[in-house]
Parts: sequence; structure tokens; C-alpha cells
Amino acid sequence: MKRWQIPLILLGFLSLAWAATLKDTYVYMTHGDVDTLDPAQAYDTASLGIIENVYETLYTYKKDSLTEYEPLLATSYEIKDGGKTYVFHLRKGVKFHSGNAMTCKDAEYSFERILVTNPGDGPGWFFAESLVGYDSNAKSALGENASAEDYEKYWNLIDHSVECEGLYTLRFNLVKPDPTFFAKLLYAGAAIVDSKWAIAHGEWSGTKKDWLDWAGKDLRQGYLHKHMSGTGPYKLVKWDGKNVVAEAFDGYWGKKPRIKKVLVQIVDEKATRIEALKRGDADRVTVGDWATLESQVRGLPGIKVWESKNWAPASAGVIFLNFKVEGKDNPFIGKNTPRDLFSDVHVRRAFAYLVDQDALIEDLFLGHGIKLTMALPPSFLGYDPTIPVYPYDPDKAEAEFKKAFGGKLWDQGFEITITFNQGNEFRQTVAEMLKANVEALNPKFKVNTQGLQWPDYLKSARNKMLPIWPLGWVADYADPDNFIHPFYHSKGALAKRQNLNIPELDQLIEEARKTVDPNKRAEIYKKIGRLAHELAVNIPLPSQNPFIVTRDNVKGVYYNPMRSGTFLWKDIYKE
Amino acid sequence: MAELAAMKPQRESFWRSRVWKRFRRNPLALVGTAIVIFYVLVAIFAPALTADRMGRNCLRDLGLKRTEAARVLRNPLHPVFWRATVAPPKSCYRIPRKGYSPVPKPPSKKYPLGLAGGGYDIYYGLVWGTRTAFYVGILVVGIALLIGILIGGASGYIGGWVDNLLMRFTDVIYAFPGLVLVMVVVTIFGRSLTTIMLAIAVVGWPTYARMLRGNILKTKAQDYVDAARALGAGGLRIFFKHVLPNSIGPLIILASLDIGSIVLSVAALSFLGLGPGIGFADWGQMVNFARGWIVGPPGEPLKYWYTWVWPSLMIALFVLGWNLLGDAVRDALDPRS
Repeated sequence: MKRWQIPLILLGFLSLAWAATLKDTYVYMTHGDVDTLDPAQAYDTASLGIIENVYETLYTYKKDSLTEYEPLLATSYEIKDGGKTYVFHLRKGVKFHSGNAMTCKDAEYSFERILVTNPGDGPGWFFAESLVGYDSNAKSALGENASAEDYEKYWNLIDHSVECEGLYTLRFNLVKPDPTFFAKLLYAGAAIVDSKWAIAHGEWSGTKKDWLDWAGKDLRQGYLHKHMSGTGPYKLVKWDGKNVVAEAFDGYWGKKPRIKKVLVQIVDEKATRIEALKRGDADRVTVGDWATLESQVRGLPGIKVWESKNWAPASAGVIFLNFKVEGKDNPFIGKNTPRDLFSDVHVRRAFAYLVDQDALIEDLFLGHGIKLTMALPPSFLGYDPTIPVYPYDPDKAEAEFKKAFGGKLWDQGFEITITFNQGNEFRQTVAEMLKANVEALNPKFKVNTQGLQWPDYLKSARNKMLPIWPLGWVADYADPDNFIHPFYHSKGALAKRQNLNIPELDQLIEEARKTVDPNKRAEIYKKIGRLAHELAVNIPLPSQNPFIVTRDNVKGVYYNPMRSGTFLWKDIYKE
Repeated sequence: MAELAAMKPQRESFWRSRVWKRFRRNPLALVGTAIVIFYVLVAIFAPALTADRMGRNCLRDLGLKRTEAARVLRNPLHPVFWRATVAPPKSCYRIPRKGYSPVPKPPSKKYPLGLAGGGYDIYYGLVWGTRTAFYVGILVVGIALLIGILIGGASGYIGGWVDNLLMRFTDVIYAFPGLVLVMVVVTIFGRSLTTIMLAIAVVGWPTYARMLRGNILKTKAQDYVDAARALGAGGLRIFFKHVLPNSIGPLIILASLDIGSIVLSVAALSFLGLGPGIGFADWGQMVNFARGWIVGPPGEPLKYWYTWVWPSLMIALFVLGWNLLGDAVRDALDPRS
């Protein structure tokens, strides 16, 4: 070894020492690519995990509470006209990341933008329901043969629903009283966007002139897809399609965060993430399940596991069954397999009998989980724990298969692909379990499993191309309707991906929406859960007790189930 | 004076030849042969060795009940024994799982080599993986050798513009990033063991072609080739009787080394999601299952040793066996080089 190489080697070692993250940098390693950074389009936890730290809403949850709120971009509010009018007083002296000052104009623009664009796979529907009375954007709601007058009426509804009185007073005019409206405004996508900056970069002008061009548009083609200018404590430095880099915003109106730089790295491989955590290259990683936690992570030096019996997730996951699979040249279903395979209740029940819920809870959750009886978190109003769960019973499954399609399915067989999002080992195990159990009954039943990247997974599901897929839903706002409607109503955000259409369920859900008495509402939801179980419209999956894994020098961690990232970056610090 | 009967020159019998004598006197040759024979036996008797732990689907496709499986599959007089040994259904290559826990379980009476992450039976995976290893190794190397010999042989022997053309074509294939080609082939023709093997073979032949061409050029210049031509032997006869057999030696060595490394290439592709699917009995997959468990929890770093020790030993021994065999064959054929 030559003499001049020695200092180089020493420098190499020194740089390795600095490679462990610095005190003001926070590195979060997880799986699941961000889908989009546009708050009017994003509707998944990977995307909202970034949005909730860069953009801000009018009010927000206080730390980890679901019932206490604190003012954020609004300082106070009043509800008038029996719940039809909401008036918010906005905070003064707030600056956007671009340097522009925030006024009511930006708030009006942001909310009107959500109503104008309201893409079919975005969150706009539950705002539009309250503010304009339709749940979809103008083009979807009114149809192709709508007249100019119809569109004019729709625009007037949007224009009238959100108004400014001066620079710092925002007024919402609802079409009818909605007791959940305030909760809806806590959703991370109900954020105030820098209107001047957005318009300057080619987004909707904010006026009637070009609103129809933007109705229903896929905002992933727009400027806000990859660029952000919000009021939050962090501003986006770069999103290269994979990793996200953010840094603290100097002009933030509130308390300056102690973490100055944030890196969100997407790594699908669990072993790599755990190695990075051990070495200190990552401050927080997604571990996945209790089995891995207890065998590989617990007790490691320098690692802290955050857990509590009181933590309850505000989420529910099911295996969706597509009543009518769509898409030409669909690689997820065999050419000779009927597209309406799951429209027969016997097929659905058969699959339900082949999910071994106990094995999942035992082997993956190490007992730290519960079976769900319906697609609703147990802590929410209307959950009924007495509804039965389909047990693992291959004999009953075989009997159901033999009854399917008048007995013909058993002879003809079928071929489908169960997809899951790459990196999610729980869903992968569910897919493999179903594959083994279904194929064991009849050699003509062919089940393949395939992992897809998160954005592709969502896209295929939204295009109704997947025959069967496991997916979860995190509450947008803390009300049971935000689960029941998406999962069971024919127009629900999730149910429409499986072409679900059961009039009895629709009727019950609409009735519950009109019911004010919480006990009566609960009864209706229990009825819905029971009917859903009988018809096996989907297969609820067990819910895992949550935990968070970080390096032990990370402090201030808390668990708020309504936050996509469980806590906000501004609240933590490193010692 | 009686005429002496013309003595017909006798061809030396192989078993009395010097080649065989040199081979059998080489201790490493015998070790290599023993190892390869061991693997051959494991592969052939895979159903008999795993009769007591077969998966549901495999038993169903063979038409056996679990209780009679052990008896039937170890009885060479039973027709199902032959069906399972010669042409087992695809489902027999799926490693059976005990539970779904991602945590490996140590060796026990029922699972002598332990369970890998995901509940996969390591013993079953390694035994049936031997069949996959032979299938993959021999087929891939066989195809690559065939193409390589054809092109390299034609190129070296014919020479001229044919040589030029073929060698430029070989250069193009050589420059192709193999991994990309494999991914393209798999995307077009679908994920399966066969498509991956074809893809690797299609990218692997240039090395053989070039080597053969070089050796042929060297051999062509030898005196005995001129002598044969002087005696009136035709082009093809010279090629197949004199040139080719003397040029092919190094190729055999290379091929024997490749048989082992192909197993690892297929494993790498499995890791990238191009392989025949998770749970297929393949040594590379068994190594992949061990990926996250090589180092155990603090204080017990070797806690999950069985997940990677057994598959690694299987692969290492396989490669060693073929290496020794290949070296020994080369030494026996030509002790000077």
C-alpha cells in the first residue's frame, strides 16, 4: 500500500462516521412510492405523509388526540344557520414557501380548486357532497350531454360555496347541514395552497374562464404534482419520483422545528431497512409485522420500539372481490375465466372460508391483533363485534365452489392473479395463503400472485382491472360514514373499483346519513355490517396493533391514527 | 514362406486407455465424481427422500393419500414411484409451508434442516432444488455450448468472410447487457424457469464460440492436420475427426465451471422477481429466504444459522464437484496443458 493512500483511507473512515445521520436530519425509510404531491389529487398514505408536513389546514388535531383540535391557519370559527354556514377567521402574517403572503384569496382558490377538479380517484368527493351537493366533478356529475346552462349552474354552486369577506375571513356555504363538515376540514388534503404561485405556473386560473377544462382532470399532469408551495414548517426540496427531500422553512409562522432536513427514502426490501436502522443510516423505518419486530428488532442496541395498548388504528383492511373485472388484455385474469367470477355469492363465500385469520394473527402479529367483523375500525360508532367472521374451513369452501355458477365452475376452473403492493409482507402472505388454499381444492383453479409498485397498484384497482386484491383504508375524517360509504355504497370510493352495486346496502347507507341520533345511526351500521357479511361483499382482514420503530435518540414520537405518518416531523427532535 | 496375416490396428478400449488410467489415478477426480454422483442420486430419488413431507397439491396431482405416500414412493415396484421420479407434476416443485410466520424455526424432528422465513421446509427445498439445479445447469450450458460450438466451429474452420461476420455478430451479443436481455425475454415470453434458462443461454454462448474459434485456429496449424489433408481426407472429416476433438478440451472445463455458477444466476434473477415464483424449489430461492436472517438478534448472531448454512453448503459442494470433475477430465485428456 503506497504512503499517499493512507490519508485517503483515513478520510474514507471519517466520512463513514459522518454518514450516520446528523442531529438535525431525519431519515425515514419505508416502502410505497409517493403517488402525487398535489393535495387535490393525493388520496393515499404515502403521498399524504409528505403533504401533511408541507401544507397546512385551517384547524388540526392536537398532537395525538382525535377529539381535541387546535387552530392552525385559522384562529377561530363560527357555525351559523343551523350548520349550513361556517365562517373561519384566518391567521395574519403567514407566508408561503414562495414568499407570497397568505390571504383569504388563497383559501378560496384552494377549496374551489378541489371542487372544480375533483378527479374521480381523489378526495374531492366528500367536500363536494357538502358544498355543491354532487359527489363528482362537473363533467362526471352532469354527463356529456349537459348544456351550457347546466355547467353554469354547477359553476355558480362552486363559486357560491366558498367566499371571502375581506382578506382574512373565509365563509363556507353548505347545501345542507353536515355535522361532519368540520371534521372533513381536518383532512390533510384540505390544505391552503399558494394561489398566486400556482396560477403563475399554469394551474387553474381561479376564474370561470377555464374551469371546465380543469373539471375531472388528472392532476398528475400538472405543476402541483411535483412542486409544492404551502405554509407548513417544511418545504419540498426535491421529489425525484422515488425519494423525497424536504427542509425546514425559515419563514414559518409558527414554532421553528428542531429537525432541519428530512429525507424520506423508499426501500421495498425489509432486510435493507432494518440494516439501515441498525447502522444509524435511518432514524425511523417501517418494520411491518410483530413477528419481525420481536425476532429481529426488539432488543437491538440503539433502537426504540414505541407501543401502547391504547393505540387503536383508524383503519380497516379487506380483500376486495371484483364483481365485474374490466380492461382489455387484462393480465390479471385468465382469458377463459368469466369476468363476473366474483358476482356469484358462492365464489365469494368460498374465498372467505379459505382465509385463515387465526394463522395470520398468530404467525404475523404474534397475537397482537384482532379480527374485524366489518370494514370499520372497532373504536368507531356502529361497529358490531357480534357479527360472525368466516372461519377457515376448506370443506365449506369446497361445497361453496361446487355450488357456484350452477356447478359449472368446478368443472371449468378459473385463472386469476392476486396482486398486492410490493413491500407489504402482510398482504403478500394473504395472497400466498389464498393461492395455496384455493389451488389445493381443485387442480383447475389457478391462482397467481404478483407484487405491484404502490402507484401502479392503486391505478390498476381504480381502473377496475384487479379481480381480487387486499387493501386498507385510513379514515379521511373521524366518522363511520367515511368507512361505510367508501366500502359498501355503489358510488363509494372503494366499492366502485369492485363494481359493487347492492341496492339494499345503498338504501341503508343513505338512511344513516340522514339520521342524526347516534344510537339509531349505530343500529343502521350494524345492520349494514351483518348484510355485508351474509353477502360476503368483501373479506375483512385482521387489524394489527400499531407500533413505531425509531432510533433511541429520536424523541417526541406519538401516535395519531389520523396522520398518514402517525406523527408530524415538526414535533420530533433528536438528541 | 507363409504370409503374415495383416494385423488390423486395434482401437484401444476406453477402459484400458491411458485417459481412463490417468483419470482414475487422480484422487481429486474420484472426489469430484463422488460428489456429482451424490447429487445425481439425490435428484433421482427426490420423491422417495421427501415422501413423508410432500405438499397437498403434489400428493393430489400424483393421486396419493398422505398416509400411503411414504410407502408408495419408496417402492420401486409401484407405478406412481416411476411417475413421481421421471415426470413429477409441477406442483411437486412447490416447497410446502408450515404456517406463515416470517421467523425461521430451528431444526426439529419433523423438519431436520429447519424452516426458513415464511415457513418453508428447508430439507424439501434443497432436495427438489437439486433437480432444478441439474435441469437449469445442464440445459443452459448445453444450449450455450451447442450454439457456441456451431458458430465458433464454423467461424474458426471456414475462416474468411464467414469468420469475420460471425465474430462481429458474436461481439454484438457479447456487448449486450445480459440482465437487460433476460428481463426483455421474460417480459415477452412470461415468467417461468424455461424462459429464464433460454435467456441466459442465449447470452452465454459467445464465450464458448470465441474460445473454440481460438483453439481451432491453433489446431488447424498443427502438422497432423496437414498430414491428414495430404492423405486425402475431406474437409468435414478433418474437422470432426482431428480438429474438433483437440480443440474442445478447454470448453469442457469452462462448461463444468458454468454449471455451478448458473445456479447462482438464476437465484439472482429470482431475487429480482423474474424467477419462477416464490416458493419454487430452487437453491437460490432458499438463499433468498435467508436474506434477512443471516445475522440474528444481538447476543445471538448465529441464531438462524440453518437458513443459510445448508443452502450455501449445497451450492458450494455442487460447484466444487463439477469443478473437480472438469479439472480431472481436462487433466486426463491432456496432461500437458
